[in-house]
Amino acid sequence: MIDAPSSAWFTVHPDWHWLVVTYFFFGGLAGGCYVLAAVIDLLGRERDRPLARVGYLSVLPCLAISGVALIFDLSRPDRFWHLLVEVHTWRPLFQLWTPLNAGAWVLLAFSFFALLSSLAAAAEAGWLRWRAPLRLRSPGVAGAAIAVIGALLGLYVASYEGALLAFTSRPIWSETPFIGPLLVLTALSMAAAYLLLFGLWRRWELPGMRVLQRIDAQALGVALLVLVALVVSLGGSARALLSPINLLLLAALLVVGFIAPLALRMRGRGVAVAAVLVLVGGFLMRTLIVFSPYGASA
Amino acid sequence: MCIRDSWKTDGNPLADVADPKFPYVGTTYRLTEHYLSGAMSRWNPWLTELMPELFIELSPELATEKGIANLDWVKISSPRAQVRAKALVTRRLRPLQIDGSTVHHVGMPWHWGYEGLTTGDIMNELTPLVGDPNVSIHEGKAFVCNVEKG
Amino acid sequence: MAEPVGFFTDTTVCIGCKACEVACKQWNQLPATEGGQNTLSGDSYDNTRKLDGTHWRHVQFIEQFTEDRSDGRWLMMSDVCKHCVQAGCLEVCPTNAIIRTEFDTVVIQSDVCNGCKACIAACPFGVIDINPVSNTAQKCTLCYDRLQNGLEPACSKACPTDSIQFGSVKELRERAATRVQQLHDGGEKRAYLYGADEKMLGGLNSFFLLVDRPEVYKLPPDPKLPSSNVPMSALVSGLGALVAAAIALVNFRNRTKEP
Repeated sequence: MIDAPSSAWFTVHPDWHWLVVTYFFFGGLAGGCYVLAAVIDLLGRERDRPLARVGYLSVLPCLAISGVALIFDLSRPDRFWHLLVEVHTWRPLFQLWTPLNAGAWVLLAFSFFALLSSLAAAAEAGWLRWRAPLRLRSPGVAGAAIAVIGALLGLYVASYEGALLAFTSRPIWSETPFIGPLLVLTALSMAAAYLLLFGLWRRWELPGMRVLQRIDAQALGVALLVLVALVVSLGGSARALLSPINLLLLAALLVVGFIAPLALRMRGRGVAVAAVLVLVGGFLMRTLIVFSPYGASA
Repeated sequence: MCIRDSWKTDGNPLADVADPKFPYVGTTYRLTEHYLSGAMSRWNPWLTELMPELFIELSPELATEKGIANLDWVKISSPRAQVRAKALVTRRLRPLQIDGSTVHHVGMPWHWGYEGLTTGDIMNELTPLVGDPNVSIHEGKAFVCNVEKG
Repeated sequence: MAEPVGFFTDTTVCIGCKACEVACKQWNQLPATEGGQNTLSGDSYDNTRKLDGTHWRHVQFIEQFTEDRSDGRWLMMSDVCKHCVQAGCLEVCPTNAIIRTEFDTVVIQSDVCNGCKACIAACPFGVIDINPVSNTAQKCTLCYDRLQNGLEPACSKACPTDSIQFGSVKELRERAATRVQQLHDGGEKRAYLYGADEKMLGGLNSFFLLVDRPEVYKLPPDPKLPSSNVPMSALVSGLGALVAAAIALVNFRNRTKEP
């Protein structure tokens, strides 16, 4: 008790658990999918448009799951709208310096852009009888603008949780700036893995499939470096990672989420297996992030 | 210590001097949170949550000697009765050095009984029926006892 | 705004009676743990264990005895929300439920809170928790309703030794300084004030007189505001996002594209 590594060890853990992990996972996947789809469109890769289509169409379902998880994580889910509307005045509530409030508004905006892009993707696939939405997608000025703004919002959605956790007084969360980059980089690799699996399932042979494998591996490689930086930046509080459950999670994460998929990718084998491992690793990563300070008390 | 003839009954045996069956000294005392036998205070949730269970206090030295850990159940016995309570191991109790030998002291709050939000054994059953020499008020608050794990 | 008010808790005269805990529970009608059927903690006389959603005052008991019993003392301290001048809970609350009152106290509006638990993670002292009855975050209100009616808080009213003193922060600080001097003059050199000046989070409106290091009382030696972490975190997150975007762009670059 008296030799606590930092003042953060005198705080109390909030009851954020699996619902928050779920939100981090699907929020990251949503952001990553949109970014990849937008990049494919903006760089004019005609043959890979089916991949982009899947990317766009996957965003809203992921956000729906995230939204439900977030709402039910509140102790008073019936009051989720208090995040956006001031209760006593009924005016919209903007406290954009708090990640929780800013995140709520950005999620709304991102959902809107995801909707626009989904309509365009659906129209292109011939599912809608309405041709107007085609203009919402590249090529075309409107399409490009939507892709850029949507991708920026997607990057925010995939990374802001780091700032959200930093905006606390808990050990680990408030003691390193590296959680955000770790989340966004693994989100990118998760999205690449997901799109890859989808394409393999549909037996597509598109040039983008190889690119996704490279993106997956590179993002993971950089993420591993960020993870090392994170542990080092914790200083004395890294002791929190030494609890049995945290060590187990960390070991599982390193093997399943980094070493195995990177090894497979470098040898060009087990493409689908590696993709599944990346997704599992992404989930383990978020589990470790959310649960790691749990036992850290003075 | 005054024992009137009418108190020398079957239910009130006293220990022999230096009886090895009862090597420790027990004293009974009060806690702030409960009142007397707890008949009123142990029905008040705001009070019972402050002191929820019967316990005795013993020094770490006695605890080590008898293999008792903090919060273990223990049996406390006197010539008159045997009760069970949880053990609170604390340095606030200390072994007494009397005439060159170590005599252990066991502390016993006596606020518990068999009804209420929290129940527990009646610690005062351990005490002898003895009175002070002046007015014969019951003064059995210090007596010999034994403590065992279990 | 009226003058800032708060508590000066002089732990050297606390007798560990817990009248403050009970008075607080009675005034605010807070439920007892497990209906009053909880368990012995084994931690001295402290069965409340910690401040939480249904315990807004918590008396700590710290036994400090040497092995040979030649020296020893039993420290008692009534812990409470510090009503910080720069409050971590207030700055993170995304629904504006947490406000600063006209008495310079920090209050969580129960009708606004939606239980997001950000304040629980943000409080540097671990004071806040969810009340399982209301399912919102709750903590000491410094008896806001009593203050608005000219009464002093329930705990300070109940405290029989005046360990908990209520009043204007300015006056309390003067009284506390005098008391520390008195203790020093009497030989208790370890006495000091915790949170009585602007250095700690702008000052704690509910500050303490302690006789050992803060960690002994489970108080952080160097509490900070959560916002102090955000600029760096946001910057590094932004860089991370840039790197991610770059990885996507560089790899999807159409190499066969004609210039």
